[in-house]
Amino acid sequence: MQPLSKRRRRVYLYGLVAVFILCLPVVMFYANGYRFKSGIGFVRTGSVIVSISKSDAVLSLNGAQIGTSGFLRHNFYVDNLAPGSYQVLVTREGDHPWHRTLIVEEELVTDAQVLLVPLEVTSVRLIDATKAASSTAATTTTPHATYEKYRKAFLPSNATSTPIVALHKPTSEIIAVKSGNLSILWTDAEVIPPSRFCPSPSDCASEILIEGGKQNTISAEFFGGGVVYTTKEGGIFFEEIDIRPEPLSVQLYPVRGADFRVVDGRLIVKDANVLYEITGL
Amino acid sequence: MDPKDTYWYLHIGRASDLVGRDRIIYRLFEMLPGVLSIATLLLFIVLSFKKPVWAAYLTIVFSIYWLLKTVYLSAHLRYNFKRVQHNLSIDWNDRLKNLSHQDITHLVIFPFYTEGYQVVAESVHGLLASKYDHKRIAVVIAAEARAGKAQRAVADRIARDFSSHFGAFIVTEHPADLPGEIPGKGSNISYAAEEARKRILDAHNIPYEKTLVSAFDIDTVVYPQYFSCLTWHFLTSERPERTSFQPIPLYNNNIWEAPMLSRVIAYSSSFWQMIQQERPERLATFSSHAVPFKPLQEVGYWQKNVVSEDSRIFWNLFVRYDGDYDVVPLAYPVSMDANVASNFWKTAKNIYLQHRRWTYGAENIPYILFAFIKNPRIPFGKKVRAAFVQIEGFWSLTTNPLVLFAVGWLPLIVGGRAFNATVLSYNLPLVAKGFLTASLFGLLVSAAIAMRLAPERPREKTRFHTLLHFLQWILVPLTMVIFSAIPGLDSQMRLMFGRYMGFWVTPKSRKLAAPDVS
Repeated sequence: MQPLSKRRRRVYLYGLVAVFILCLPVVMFYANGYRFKSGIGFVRTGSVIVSISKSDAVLSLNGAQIGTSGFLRHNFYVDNLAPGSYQVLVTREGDHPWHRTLIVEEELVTDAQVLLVPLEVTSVRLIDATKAASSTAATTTTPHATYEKYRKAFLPSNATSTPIVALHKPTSEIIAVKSGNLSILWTDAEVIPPSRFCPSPSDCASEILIEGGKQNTISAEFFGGGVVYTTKEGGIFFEEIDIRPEPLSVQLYPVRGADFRVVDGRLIVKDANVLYEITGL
Repeated sequence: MDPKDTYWYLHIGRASDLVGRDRIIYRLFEMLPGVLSIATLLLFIVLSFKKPVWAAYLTIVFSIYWLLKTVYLSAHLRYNFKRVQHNLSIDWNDRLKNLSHQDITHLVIFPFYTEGYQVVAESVHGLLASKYDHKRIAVVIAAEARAGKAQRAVADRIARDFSSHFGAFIVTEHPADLPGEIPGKGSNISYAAEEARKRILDAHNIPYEKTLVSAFDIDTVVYPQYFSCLTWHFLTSERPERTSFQPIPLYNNNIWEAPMLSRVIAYSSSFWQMIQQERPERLATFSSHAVPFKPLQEVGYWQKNVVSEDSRIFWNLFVRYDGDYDVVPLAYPVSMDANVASNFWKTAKNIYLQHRRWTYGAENIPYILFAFIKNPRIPFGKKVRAAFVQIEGFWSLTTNPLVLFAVGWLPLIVGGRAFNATVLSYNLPLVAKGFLTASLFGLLVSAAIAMRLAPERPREKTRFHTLLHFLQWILVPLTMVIFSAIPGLDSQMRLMFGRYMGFWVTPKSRKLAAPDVS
């Protein structure tokens, strides 16, 4: 039996080189999002990736169900999308529905992080342990030292909250309250801001207006993946930070004149002389 | 080295053997393999930071190339496997009947260091089991003086037990610390070959041109018709005096004792040699090989000052005969030991060190480039082809696995938000993974062939062990990086920075008793 003939080896080699040459542009175009659509020809597509941290949430895109989040599935990558506007809806039992309008551009991925907020956000009254023996459903007995810490956070000399910054880089994202308007500013000009600052993937802003006129913001803090703020007119609110329509907005405590602080990762509200903790966010 | 000698550069071991401009040139050539590999990896790393899109394109190109290369090499492997099976089924003695072969002498050299009696005895017993006239086989047990008297005693005991069966049987003892040598196989077998010339060939008036030298590792056990097959190829070769002969090293002696990691690497090494056997223009001698005595003596035997004497001897001959020298692949196996140490980590360490020694074969690159400059008689086309094959071979050995399984994915980590917002960044892992998964079919071919090449399962091993012999191939991506690319890079770095390696002897041992020689 003779060794593999030179001729046969050449056929293998040239054949595979031909496959390589043919394959390469096809794969490159594919990797860049080019797809063949019947009747249209080749189109440059974009994609959407939606991240849902909670399980059992149902994701729909333009009314078509994409999937349900689970223990092993938190990211949904939808590709082959023609450039345009897409309606994303995420629903989960017990949570506010999450809507977003995402702009898809060719060769780019539009991403969104879903923030699911429970329908029932409760305020629990805090009672100093030295003054009450037991808790009820609407009250919580708090150790004296903790209660005092919460109380002191509202004293004029401690006007600022304990800094708790979730999902935000304090050096890059800051809260700005000016003339009653609340904005989130991206301060690092060298770094492209996250997609929530971008109406479309290729167009990013450096400011997201959270409250811009109807009410007058008094104070605000990053909390729970969004921003909590209080207004002169309507109490305390939580809003998602996203420039794209329609960011979720929830009224947390509807009492005029109430104030809040974030202390050790907890959202504490002061109404007159009574302290509450907002739970469920 | 005498510059008046036409081939004064024939036995250069490293740049420090030279002076002046030649030394600088050789030193630059020594740095070349490392520079190319590091430059490639650095290119990927820099592109991943600065131009992640380009790096992603390159990774995709590499992935496609890898799949097609797998297809190409698998076709060669599969064909060679068929040829091996065919050659094992042939009665080579029957074929020899039509050829005048009675005057051919086989000189078999077993270099020997600290191995035990059983290892040596099993190899010599393999010669006895071969279906060839043992009286036309001369055996040289090449001991090392540095190994001490106990090892000399082992060699003498082997001689006592086996010498009567062969045409000639001598024990040589290579003196320690001879000038111009590094300790290792090359210096030992060169000394042994010269001793054999005086004590066997000249003493018995055996013509050099009718003598074939099989330079074996101490654990090499021949298959029954190895000598007949080798003789037939020698006699039917177009230019027998300008040809070396390469069997396939199968690491089958102890394959059922070897851990999974060791088995995969052992078969991978064999398969690489099998593939090369179907690409003889890329083939250099490796490990156990055969070479006619006359050119071997003319070239001054194996080089005594290098680690990779097995492949270097081919390049010595290639340069000495002005490019007019070839290797004929025998497509016939010899059996050797897979790496087995007392525990897994020692085995892994030994495998790493053995592969570092093998990949130190990159030391041939400066040698051949320098010799090509000095020897104008080698046709230019041959020079270019040989240099390209060697450089590309060592470059791809080191860089391809690291690109595919490590740095190629860097753009996803360091590419930044602009890159991570592209469809390309999401498709890179999908596309590359798709091609790499498709190339796993090559592993299926390997697994199937390994199952066929493995010796019969010993009674104490269960079917589960057989299943493991199949499943072991899943380790290949890991072994390619840890035991191929990284030792390859390690040895190239050593060469690049002038931290030259010495010869590391792979430990060989046996759990089994010595074969019965009665």
